[in-house]
Amino acid sequence: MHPIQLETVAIAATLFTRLAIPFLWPSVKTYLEDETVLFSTLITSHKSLEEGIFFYLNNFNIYDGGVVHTPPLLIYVIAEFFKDLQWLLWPLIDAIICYNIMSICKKFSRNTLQPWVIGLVYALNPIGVMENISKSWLAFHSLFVVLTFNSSLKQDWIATGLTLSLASYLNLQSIFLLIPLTKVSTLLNFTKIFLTFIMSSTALYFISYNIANKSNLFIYSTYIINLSFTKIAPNLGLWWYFFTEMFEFFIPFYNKVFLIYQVIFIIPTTLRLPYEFAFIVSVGLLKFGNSYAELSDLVLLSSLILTQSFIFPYLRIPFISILMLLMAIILAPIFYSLWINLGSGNSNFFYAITIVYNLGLANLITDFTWAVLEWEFKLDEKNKDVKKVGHF
Amino acid sequence: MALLEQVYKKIVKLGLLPKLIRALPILPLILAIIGLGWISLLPDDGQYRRTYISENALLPSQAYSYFRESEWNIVRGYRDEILKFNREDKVGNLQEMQTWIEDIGFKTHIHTSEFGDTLYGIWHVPKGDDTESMVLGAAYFNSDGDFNVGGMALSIALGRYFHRWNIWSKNIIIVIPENPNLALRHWVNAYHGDLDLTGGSIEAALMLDYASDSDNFDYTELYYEGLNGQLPNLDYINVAVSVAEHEGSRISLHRTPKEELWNNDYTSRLTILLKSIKELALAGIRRPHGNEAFSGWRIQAITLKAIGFTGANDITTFGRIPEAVFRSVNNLLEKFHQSFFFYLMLAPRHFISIGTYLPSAGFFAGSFLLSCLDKMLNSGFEVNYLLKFAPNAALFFVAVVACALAITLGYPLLPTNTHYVLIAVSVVASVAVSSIKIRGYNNKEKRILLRAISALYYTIVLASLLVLNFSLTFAIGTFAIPLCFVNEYPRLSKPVNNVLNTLLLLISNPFILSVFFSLDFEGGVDEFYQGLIESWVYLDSYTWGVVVLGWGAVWAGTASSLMLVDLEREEKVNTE
Repeated sequence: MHPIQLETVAIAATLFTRLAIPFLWPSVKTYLEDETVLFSTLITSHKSLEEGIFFYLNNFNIYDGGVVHTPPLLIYVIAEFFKDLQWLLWPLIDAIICYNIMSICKKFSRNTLQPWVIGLVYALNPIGVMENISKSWLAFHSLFVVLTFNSSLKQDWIATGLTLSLASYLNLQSIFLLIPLTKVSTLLNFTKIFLTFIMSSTALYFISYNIANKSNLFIYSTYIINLSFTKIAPNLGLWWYFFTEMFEFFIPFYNKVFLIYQVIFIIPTTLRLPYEFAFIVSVGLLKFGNSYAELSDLVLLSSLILTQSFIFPYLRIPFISILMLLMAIILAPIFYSLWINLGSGNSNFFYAITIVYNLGLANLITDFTWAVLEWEFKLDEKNKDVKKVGHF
Repeated sequence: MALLEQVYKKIVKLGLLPKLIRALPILPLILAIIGLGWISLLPDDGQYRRTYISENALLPSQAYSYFRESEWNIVRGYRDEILKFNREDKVGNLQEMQTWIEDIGFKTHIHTSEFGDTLYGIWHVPKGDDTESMVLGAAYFNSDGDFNVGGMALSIALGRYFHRWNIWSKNIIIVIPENPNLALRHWVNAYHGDLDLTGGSIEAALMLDYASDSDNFDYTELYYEGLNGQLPNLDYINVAVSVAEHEGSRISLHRTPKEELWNNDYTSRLTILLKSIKELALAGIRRPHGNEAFSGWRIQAITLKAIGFTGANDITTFGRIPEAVFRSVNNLLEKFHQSFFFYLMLAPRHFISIGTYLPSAGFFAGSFLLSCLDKMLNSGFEVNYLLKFAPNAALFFVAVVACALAITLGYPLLPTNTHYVLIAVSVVASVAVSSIKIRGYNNKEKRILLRAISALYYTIVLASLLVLNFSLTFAIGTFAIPLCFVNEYPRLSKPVNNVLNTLLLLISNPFILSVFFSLDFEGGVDEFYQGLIESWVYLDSYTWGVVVLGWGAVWAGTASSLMLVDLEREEKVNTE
């Protein structure tokens, strides 16, 4: 088959898996939507989104109850246009992500794998499928991050600024993706990105302000809660255990340490690595230090890494990372249910396995960085040889 | 990092890595031996711990128990009345007992199900807040099918006796199911579902089994194994043991016979340890005693069974055990949470906690992981070249797992004697795989990968089961270990190699081994499979699924890998 046809197949497969499974096994859908620990958090769960839509449609103040943490614009869009089409909306998002990932792949001629292979991997990735069925609204964030990446590679600066502002509107930490973006272009172009970003963010703020009954409560509910981690609940991240076990007067300190930790590695990464890698590693770092972590982080990161398939031979320990992540993903729900449902385990079991998960994630990021450096080194060596040949 | 680097340099210098890779074929065996050795070391002095009451509120036997002479005639009265029953008229008898319990002051109801009726009565205690309860039960027929006269008489008499006190803070429920198996389970299910008469969350359950009309008994057997590797909190067992021994009855774990009850040496502890692993792995398959029925709802449940007809203990001694246990549980202000939920018992007062015994089953998971690595690294092919065939082999293995899934789900629907077919097919397959050949290009690579994927799959199965159900993991890990050594050995001649492989397959097949597992079942293999399927269908026990989907699939993957023969190379050999 022609590659273009195969790419269509990949997109169709993305749509098909995400549409067929909930249709054939509705119990899987209910389970994934309710099973909040792996696939969504209290902040991003579909239940809380539904709550928000209900409040909005009945003209309550959305953020009064302290249950809803979804940005107002997202609630508005879904409530007004997609209320009964949600079963289609999420698969569509994934289809767009799949399309964009394949188009990112095409930007790199050095890639060894065909774009449609990557697209198909994305389509059939079981974690991605389950994540999508669980309807965590972080999927929108993933979409905008991928769009930002794609449009920056297309050198479409206005679109980059716009999508990035949407991405950071949904998840504040994504603002720091501006740092790797400094590397992609000249000062003039970056100014374009930056100005678009500022303007569109301001616009988004005013729209949200109006949707949320002209009150600023939504800022607390959607952003501050992500930064301050006041809604403590077990999730895949590293934060919750610290904050439940810790003496209260330590909490501000650790909060700041964790927040700085998310961001601090982005600057050196940007300085050292070429743009595309800096962007991917920055996404990974932001996701690694996330306060409300869920599996969509891994799906986003791995699909971005997949776009650089020429790097795979340089990975040193992919087997170990994959095994760690696999074990963690299988054991996490088991340990969670031992603790919460059966009562014979305790929180330490679950936290231990989330540590394994995060180690796997960190392993993946470091291994990827290492592979990039090695690839660069080999490339330099090769260039040196070429030069030598040229000289003599 | 400098230290790590030093270690790394040392490893490179000594050439440890290549040596290890060369040793990979026997490393699984070594790990398995370490795993078994680990378990056999645990009963040694210094490895195990003495039990202790962790929750201070329990205070076992701190209050004097009064279920003595004054209650004698009441127990005897109920017992005489029950003895007059026509045993076959279960419904009528339950209704008769319902009136007695009603007369005491309990609210009663008979819950009917297709597996038998269950009579239960609830006393909403005046002082309590009506949110928690304790269950005292006695099955009409016990697990052996004997008429449980003493148990029923005692529980009704205890109900009457408890009702005279106002110290209770938790509701008291008396349950008399027709059998301690499916009828009781159905009742527990209904209690957490659609029953109208309920008494709040059940904190603890105690089943009594006194299947004789004798006044005296010898000693008490304690059953505590729950389904799916779940156990009651160790505090609850400790309370029961300490109360029983305080009242003068010895406690026997896992049917330890009377003459061994006073032994406390390495052999006796090892015996009880191995028995406990076996019983925990077989939980639900063996005819349940009653405590199993409460598994899965955070209910601590044990069964006490009076053994013998003579002896110094009389029936009120047996009644004082529930009395004191209930007084202890009654003291609790929160759920059982202090002590261990994962442990192995070595003696009534000795145990091993999870951290100490868990590695032994971990070694088995590790040995399958090493077996996977061995297949990949020592295949004679480049790993990167091999991986090209991975999708193909993975698809093959998925087909095998799909077959296993079909057996798992389909078998319960088939007639009851189908297990003979399973066993026969397994035997035939073990013998036949060496002679049936599926020829194809690059089949050697596919075979290697199929083996590697099977081993990796089993590692994941064992590792995810490890904490949930140690005993089952340990058992299926141990018995499946021969699968690591099914191989083509260049040093052996072809027929010898085939015989060896067939033997290894025979001794590691779950269905063939079920004959061996069911040796001490009264009904033999039939009862074994009946229990396996009943627990899978009605008790939510996953043993059947794990055995077929995990162990069975890996066995089938390994066996079918032997059939794959490389077309090209075979031809070459022929032409040479």
